[in-house]
Amino acid sequence: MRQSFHPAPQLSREVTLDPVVELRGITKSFGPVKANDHIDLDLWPGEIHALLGANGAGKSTLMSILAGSYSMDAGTIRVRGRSTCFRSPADALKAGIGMVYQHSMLLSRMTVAENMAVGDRSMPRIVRRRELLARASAMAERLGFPLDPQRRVAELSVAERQQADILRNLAREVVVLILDEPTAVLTPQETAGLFATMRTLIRDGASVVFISHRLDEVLHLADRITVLRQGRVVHSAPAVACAPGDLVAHMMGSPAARSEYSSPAPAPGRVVLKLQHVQADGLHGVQSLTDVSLEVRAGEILGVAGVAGAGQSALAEVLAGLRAPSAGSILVDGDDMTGMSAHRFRMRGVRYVPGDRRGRGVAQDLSLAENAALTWLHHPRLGRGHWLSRGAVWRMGADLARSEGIEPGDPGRLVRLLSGGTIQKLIVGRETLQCPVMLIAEYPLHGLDVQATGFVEARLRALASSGTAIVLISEDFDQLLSLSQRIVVLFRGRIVAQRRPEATTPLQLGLDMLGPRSTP
Amino acid sequence: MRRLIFHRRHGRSALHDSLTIAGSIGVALLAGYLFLEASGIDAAGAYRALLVDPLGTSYGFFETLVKAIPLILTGLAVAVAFRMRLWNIGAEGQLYAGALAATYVALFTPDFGLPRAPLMLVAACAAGAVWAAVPGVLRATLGVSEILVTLMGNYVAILVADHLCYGPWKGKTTFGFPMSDRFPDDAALPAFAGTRLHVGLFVGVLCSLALWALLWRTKWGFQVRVAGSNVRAAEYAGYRVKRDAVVVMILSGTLAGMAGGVELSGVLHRLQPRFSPGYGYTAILVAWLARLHPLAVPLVAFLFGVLLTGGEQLQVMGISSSLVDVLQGLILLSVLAADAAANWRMAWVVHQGSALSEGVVHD
Repeated sequence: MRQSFHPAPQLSREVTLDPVVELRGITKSFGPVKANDHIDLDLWPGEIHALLGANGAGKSTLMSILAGSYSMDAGTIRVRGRSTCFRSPADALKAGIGMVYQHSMLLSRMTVAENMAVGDRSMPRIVRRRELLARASAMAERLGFPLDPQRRVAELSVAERQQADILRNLAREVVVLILDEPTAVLTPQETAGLFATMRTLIRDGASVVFISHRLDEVLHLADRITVLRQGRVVHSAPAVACAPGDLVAHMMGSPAARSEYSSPAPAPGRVVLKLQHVQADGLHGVQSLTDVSLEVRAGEILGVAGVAGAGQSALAEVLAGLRAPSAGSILVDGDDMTGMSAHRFRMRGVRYVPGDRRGRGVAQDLSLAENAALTWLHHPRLGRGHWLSRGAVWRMGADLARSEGIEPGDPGRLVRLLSGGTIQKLIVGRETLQCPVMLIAEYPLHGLDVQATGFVEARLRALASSGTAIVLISEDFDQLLSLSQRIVVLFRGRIVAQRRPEATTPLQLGLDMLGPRSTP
Repeated sequence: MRRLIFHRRHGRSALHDSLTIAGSIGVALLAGYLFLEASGIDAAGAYRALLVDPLGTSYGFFETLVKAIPLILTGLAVAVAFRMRLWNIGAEGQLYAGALAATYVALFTPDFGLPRAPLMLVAACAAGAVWAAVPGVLRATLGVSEILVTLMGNYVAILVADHLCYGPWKGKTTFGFPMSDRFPDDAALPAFAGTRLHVGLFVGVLCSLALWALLWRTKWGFQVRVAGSNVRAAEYAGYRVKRDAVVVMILSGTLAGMAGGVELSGVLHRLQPRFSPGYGYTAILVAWLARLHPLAVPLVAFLFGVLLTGGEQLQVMGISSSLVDVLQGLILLSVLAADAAANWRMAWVVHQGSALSEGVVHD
């Protein structure tokens, strides 16, 4: 059932009678996935409007439509009462809507002041450097940014880039500023600075949309909170009327009863994987893993939960030998594998189903059969010594297509032409061709249809019961709770909680994921 | 209202590709014909010289094959590097490096009691390999663009050859011309009686077969093809991508260096400055038109051999050789255009006035 919420804003500050932006019936599909399904949303001047939702709820899609980067399939956008149609971000900027993306859209070789002039058609044909600088300095000062507009963007820190990006939008006199997960890359001090900036902006009558995963920040800052789930608005209310527990429940959907998850009896197998105080470096000096220690036993499925970017991909890469930890050690079956190559990990029986299927799991210009052989080159079945038998590769592809139910099962078909679900069957089948010692499954069920999901779930269970240690990285609570025997929660590269499915709820996991500070 | 729309075409057959290339060459020749007529030149006569003489006369045919040999080897060199997305545009420099090493062996080494020609080829391969290994190692270890380093390598090798021809290696029996002395007889590759065609042709065709087998029949070749398609998948699968990249560059340089050795040992029998009419650059076109497939390289090289031989015939007729360049350019452009167009399926759709997509509101 579709609901629509247009409550009048309850603002203690300046109240304007008309919303500055009205979104009605916004719908957008990516293939079979409805990212936005008839979304209605109003933005009022002088408010901070938080958009909450799990990954894939459609927040970024909706805001990208409002900012002109995506076209919509259906719906209307009214800005200050006028119907508009944005064909590009430039159109949206002209109408006063700007967005600061998670990945900076600035030109890194140019200075901050120059970036503020890029794309501005109102600039005179000949631009004076001094005027640009003066304007940039004035704006930076008004917002309290200690930012030198003469510096090149390439030299700026993440937080400074964000400030530069905000300045660039404000230079175009935006009335709506969208910030897509702006705090994800900031330190607490930088976050406090950003919040002060946001308050300054709304005092001047702009409205700010704030996309976030972080419940405590949202409650702290927002005037109004809208929760999206599976492409729909499921809740929209003034922040003062929102309780944290209710918001999490809205984000996660109806919380399942505890008894629904009865994990199989913990296997008493040997310890297969042992991580000790592992650290991994990320970009910009931010650690992507900090002091991670964990154990996985044979026959055990360990779930790893966390919001996007909490360190899951770094963990998967470290476990697969694709990234060497900067500190700490990895033991597989008691052998120290720290710093060894991905090839050595594979030969040790560690197999990996990567989250980025097309980008990492397959070579798309090669055939189904060749991709089936991709990670089995050393296998004697494929040819003696250095030789590769085309017939053996072909048979491997045909066998895999048959056993995994891949349709059409033509081993010569280019992987580029296969659907995402089919590619996943191919990868899962390939990585589990022989029962691995350890399997890392990163978002293995993401975007699969019901049948394929059941297939992969059954495969994971079967592997566990035959003694494989499995690390299951997922964002789906139902999957984590129904498949794993234990769940660890990552938050900013650290393990912040360990839960047993029979002793926890999706709500509890949801709160864990949002960081140690947010408690209902 | 009728509107032309384009659909992306998936999956192309070898037949489709062959027809595309043949058709586009036809279009290019037609355009060239009109161009020649417009320039006031007897186009029919020019085409006879350009196409019939190289293919229809025995002298022309052998000459075409002679010209195709260095193109086969350099074309293979470029193709194998491009397969792994290593943009080696330095086949020309590697060819000169090979030629220099071959010259050194031919003129300045003592007689080992062995025929010199095979030793020259080995030395040429080694020199080309070294010339390409430098950009390969720089790319793999420091991430330096191989495009720039291979390109610079061309200038260095060509100028070193110039220097040697004008200076230290200038021959005593060349009447003051800047070139080396003629190589001793045992430095020549065997030629077919009465022609300039030499066994280098077999070397080229064998290399083409060997490279095909290496890429499609060995595990190492498989790894190279995976890395060329998706380097992240290759890393994920545990392949040693950086090492393979260096090996591919060395292999590429070996083939290009061999082209230099074969050309000197088989045809010129001495080192001359600027002896290559840009074989290493034409090789990029050869490799690209062959779709980086080793077995297609000799065929495409033969076609370019026709153009080169025909160009000489045109010059004999008194027509500027730049016309040949124009024709080559036309053929390449139309093949590339046809190649891009073949990815798309065109269709006319009829638009009803009311068929504007729903929900888009215009001001």
